[in-house]
Parts: sequence; structure tokens; C-alpha cells
Amino acid sequence: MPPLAPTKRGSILNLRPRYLLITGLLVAMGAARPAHAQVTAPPKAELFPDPSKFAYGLYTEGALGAVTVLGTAGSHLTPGWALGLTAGYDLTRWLAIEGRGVGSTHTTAFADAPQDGELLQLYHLMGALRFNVRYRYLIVSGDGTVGVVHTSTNVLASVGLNTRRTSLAYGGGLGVDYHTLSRHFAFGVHAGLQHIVGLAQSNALTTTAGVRYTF
Amino acid sequence: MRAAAGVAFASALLAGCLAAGCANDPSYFPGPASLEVDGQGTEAKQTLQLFFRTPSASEETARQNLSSQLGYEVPWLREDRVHLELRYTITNLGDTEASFLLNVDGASEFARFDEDAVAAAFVAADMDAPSPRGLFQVRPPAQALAPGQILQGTILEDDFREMELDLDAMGRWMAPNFPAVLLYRSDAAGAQTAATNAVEYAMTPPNLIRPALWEITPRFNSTQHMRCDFLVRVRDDEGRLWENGDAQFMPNPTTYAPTIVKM
Repeated sequence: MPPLAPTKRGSILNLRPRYLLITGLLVAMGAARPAHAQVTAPPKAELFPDPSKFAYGLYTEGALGAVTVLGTAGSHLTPGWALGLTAGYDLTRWLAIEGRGVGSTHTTAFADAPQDGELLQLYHLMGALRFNVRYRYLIVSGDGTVGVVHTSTNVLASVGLNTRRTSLAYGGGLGVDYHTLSRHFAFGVHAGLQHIVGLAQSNALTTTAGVRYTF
Repeated sequence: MRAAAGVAFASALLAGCLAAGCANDPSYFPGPASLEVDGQGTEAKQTLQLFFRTPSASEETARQNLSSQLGYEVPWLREDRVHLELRYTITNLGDTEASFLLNVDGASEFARFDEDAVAAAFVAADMDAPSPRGLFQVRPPAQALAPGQILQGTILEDDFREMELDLDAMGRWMAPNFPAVLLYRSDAAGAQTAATNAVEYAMTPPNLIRPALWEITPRFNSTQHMRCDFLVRVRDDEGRLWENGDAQFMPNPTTYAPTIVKM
């Protein structure tokens, strides 16, 4: 019978490296002082553009569009080009007061009367209270208006459609504006409906696109 | 700041344009009623007087000074300040096609042209009245109006200018042959027209300020049942139309009576 091979048992040098590693880690963990991890809140996303950096206060707005008369007088007036000017003031970020002027030009339509084919202008002069909701580039607004509408001639009066050349008008509208990265400029579209008492109780639908400059 | 100045400039420009646009808006005077004929030969006519205010003291002084300067009475209602146009709509209410006759008489502050008065003068002289008889005659369309058809037309400002010259030439400046005055356009070209006009307007001052019409009388007739609606459009350059509170200008023109010479 061959002699047994000599073993390495009995010497630390004979331990396997695996056990040495585990032992070392345990010693290190026991000796270490408690560690504290650095915990920070995730960085907040920067709002861009920041509506608070846009100018607000006094502003003016120029607009181009159309006025369509609806109702009794509507069938006798073609839709017409409109030009509008607004001056307003932001009382707060969400509330503004405005003075608006809109002029539009129309042609009369009476198939069987001599009043046919005459040019007529409507001038709106309105005061408005405007509510704004701002989010980043966008401003969504709703407004209520009251004022007067003046007809340039008495051609509608000659057929009994216009009891007063200058008449009370009131109504409201909705708009959406896109603010550019400039502090001052915004572009927008607006639609408003005015009830014109003296124009045979008709309504005027004003649709415009415009540019606003806030000082 | 440059943008603000631009916006302010645009605002001022728009306000200026609107003000200028409003300054010469026309006023409309509808006929008091439709001219409707039954086709039996009876003519329909309506006289429409336009409302003007009297001149202020300073305006009257200026008018008199200009009259002295030009050597004749300058009208308060001047053709170069008061521009007229007549729009008409004719509807054939009958059951067959037909044409129509539409004449216009009128009056300035100095003279009135009335076909009936002219015809009466010829009847008194035992003569037939010549044609044309109206101060202005609308040329009927080449095609007669079908039943139910509607025709719209306009007597233009230039036509009224001619009427105003003719009426003044006949009423104030003794034009010798009134049918020729009515027949020929003063602004038309042609040798015969020029020769006729030279005779008819011989007494008329070359620098004449024509009086505008303030009274307009359309006369309408047809061989069918027809209706004529009309509307007078006035552009008033200097605010001489009457408004509430003004004293109304009510002239008393002389009705024109032709001088009839029996051959």
C-alpha cells in the first residue's frame, strides 16, 4: 500500500484564498465607522420659457381678419375684411382691461331693391375685460365686451334695418396667443360675437389674427 | 422702443384712415314710395326733396363775396361739393315682356325742370312738345324685361353733373334751344356736338359753378305692370346736409318755361 500524501492542514498558510477574502471583509466591516450616503432631491426641470419673464402691463395689439354679420341684417351684408386695434393693460397675470376698435367693410345685398351693392363700414368701439390662462408659450383667454357699433351710412336705415346709426353692442370672445421668446411679442387668433341692438338685433362675428406688443 | 414707436405710428395711421373714411360717407334718400304702373299708359312720378341746411352767417358772407368776384350768383348747393347718384330697380310684374320709360326731372335752388310745365307751354302754343322731354332719360336695355325680371341701374354722378349744367343753362343762361341742350352731352366729343354746345352754352359763364339738384323727380311708365324703386345717394363734401337742429334750406326755384317761337 502506497504511503499517504502529506497534507497542508495545520498552517494558516494552507487556508484557501476564498476563506481569506471572506475573513478580511468581515474584519473590515466590523472595524469601519457607520457611513452616511449623500441624498439630494432630483434637479427640478427648468420651465422654458418662463411666463413670469414675459413683459406684462400696458400692451397694444393690431389685428386683421373678417367680420360676418349674422341674423336679420346678415342676409343683406356680405362678410367683410376687418382691421382692429387694441390697447390694454394687464391688471394681473390673469386679468386685463382693454379698449378695442375694429373697422370692417361690407357690401349690401338686396336682390330686388336699389340699396344693392353699396359699400358700408361697421366701426366697433368696445371695452373688454379679459381673463388669461398662461402656460409656457400659450395664453388662452376669454373676454366679455360692451360698447357701441357705428354704421358708416344710413343705407340700412333706408330699408328699416338700422334703427340707430350708433348702437349699443355687447358680447364675448375667445382667443389663443402664442408668445415668442421675445419678452414683448405675441401672436394670436381671436373670435368674438357681438350682439348689435340697433342693427335689427343682429350679431357680428369677428375673427382676427394679430400681433401684440407688451411694453 | 422702436417697436413701440412703430405700433404707435400704426395706430395713428389707422385712426387717420378711419377719420378720412368717415369724412365723406354718402347719405341715402329712398324714394317716398315705389313708382308702379299698370301698363294702361298712366305715368307714375315721385318728387323727392333732399334735406340741406341753411348756410351759416360766415358761409353766406363767403358765398356773396365769391358771387361778387365771379359776377353771378354762386349757389349754396354747389355741384362740386354735393354729388348725387340715383340707383333704381325695375321689376316686371306683368305676364309678358316689355320695356319701360324712365325720365328724371329736377330742381336746383334757381330753376326747376318739369316736363308737365314744358308740355303745357307747348299745348298753350298749340304745338307738339319735342323729344327728349326729361332732364335725363334712362336708356332702356336692348332686351325687353321678361316677366318677373329685375333690372338694376344707376344714374351716375357724371349724369347729374350734366343735368345740373343743362338745367342752369336753360333756367338762368337762356340757352336758345332746350331740346338740343338736353340731347347733347357737354363733355362729348364730335364736331356737331361741339358746334351745338357752342351755341347752347354761349351765355353760360366758362367758370360756372353749377348748382346741384336738391329736388329730384323720377317719372316712370311702361306698357306692362311694372314697378320702379329708387334711391338717391348724396356725397356731401362740406357737411351741408340737414341734421337735427339745423334750419332747413328751402329754396323757391323758378319753373322753367321754354321760349316757343312759332315758325
